[in-house]
Amino acid sequence: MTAFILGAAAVTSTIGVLGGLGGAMLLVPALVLAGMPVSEAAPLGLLTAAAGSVAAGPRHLTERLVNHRLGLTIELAATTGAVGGALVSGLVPERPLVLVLAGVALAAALVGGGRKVVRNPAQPDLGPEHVGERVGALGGAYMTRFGVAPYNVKRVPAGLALVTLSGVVAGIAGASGGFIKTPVLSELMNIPTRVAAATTTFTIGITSSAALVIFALQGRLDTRTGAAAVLGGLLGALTGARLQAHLSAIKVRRALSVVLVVVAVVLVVSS
Amino acid sequence: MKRDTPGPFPSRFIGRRQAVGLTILATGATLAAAVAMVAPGTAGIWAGAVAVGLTMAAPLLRVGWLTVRWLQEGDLRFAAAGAALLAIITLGAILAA
Repeated sequence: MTAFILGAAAVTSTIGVLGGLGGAMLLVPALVLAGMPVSEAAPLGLLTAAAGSVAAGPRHLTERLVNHRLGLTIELAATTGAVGGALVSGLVPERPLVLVLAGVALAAALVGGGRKVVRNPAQPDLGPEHVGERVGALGGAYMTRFGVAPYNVKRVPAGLALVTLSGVVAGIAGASGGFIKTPVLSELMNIPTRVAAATTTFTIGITSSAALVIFALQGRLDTRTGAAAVLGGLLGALTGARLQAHLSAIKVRRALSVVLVVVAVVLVVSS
Repeated sequence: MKRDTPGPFPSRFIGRRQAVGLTILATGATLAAAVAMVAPGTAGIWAGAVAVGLTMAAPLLRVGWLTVRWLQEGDLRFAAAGAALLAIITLGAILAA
């Protein structure tokens, strides 16, 4: 089983990075279909998500894409949801958990297949020294092909409400919630896609760790299988990052959406 | 650039320090996880615990570090956000224990 977890975590993490939906969204259903209860698979999914966040962090930081202030602001809502979800998930029977997981997979398929790309115009009076987040504010600036483009955050209360939901999903189903956070940041809150993806990757690690602390204290974290999930997640995230430059993100995301619909159907039928 | 947001852009140094720290933690977690996969008995269990512990701790250490940096920069609002986040996680741990 440990070898299967390692292989599944590596493959799903690679695909998750390519498609921008997160590896846990595929790993947890794969483990459930292999016979593992959701209550045991969810912590492994979150470990994979946290490992991917740690692996991707250095590159995003070097490119100055992460907006830590924005990330921490939305994390206040997401982590509250994740802690609450993790606390109650141990009390929920298996079948409803499987149905929640199937619903989450279907939602991820719909969201992933329909995402648009938000573009912010570059400003000629801004230079590389302006790239990054701003002290005391949620906005910032990022580097585009045409120069440095500033961005300001919109619809913060609505965004916070939706990321709370992503946290609950993480706590109950073990999916990182990135498939909710990234579109909320880019489509609703007016954040450029690259900044949204990097900031989400940063926040996924925090949400996952918050829920994992609860799972560890509840005795639901096995160190051997956990290590397999960590190793697979780290290797998969690094592989996916290398392949990203060679594959179309939109095509991968649409293929992933089809897979997630199939996964949702299989989960419902098998439960 | 709109002038309705205060403050300058943060220094490049913050990103590099975080990147180095994350790379060290990721390397440690990878090595520990690899040992856990092959080492028998108690050694494998402890190596697994180290791998899982480092992976869980890295994001939370990042939050703590950012909170301290923002406090030093005088950005009290976001330092308070970081401290509140750590308090929420601590409360959850107390409730779960």
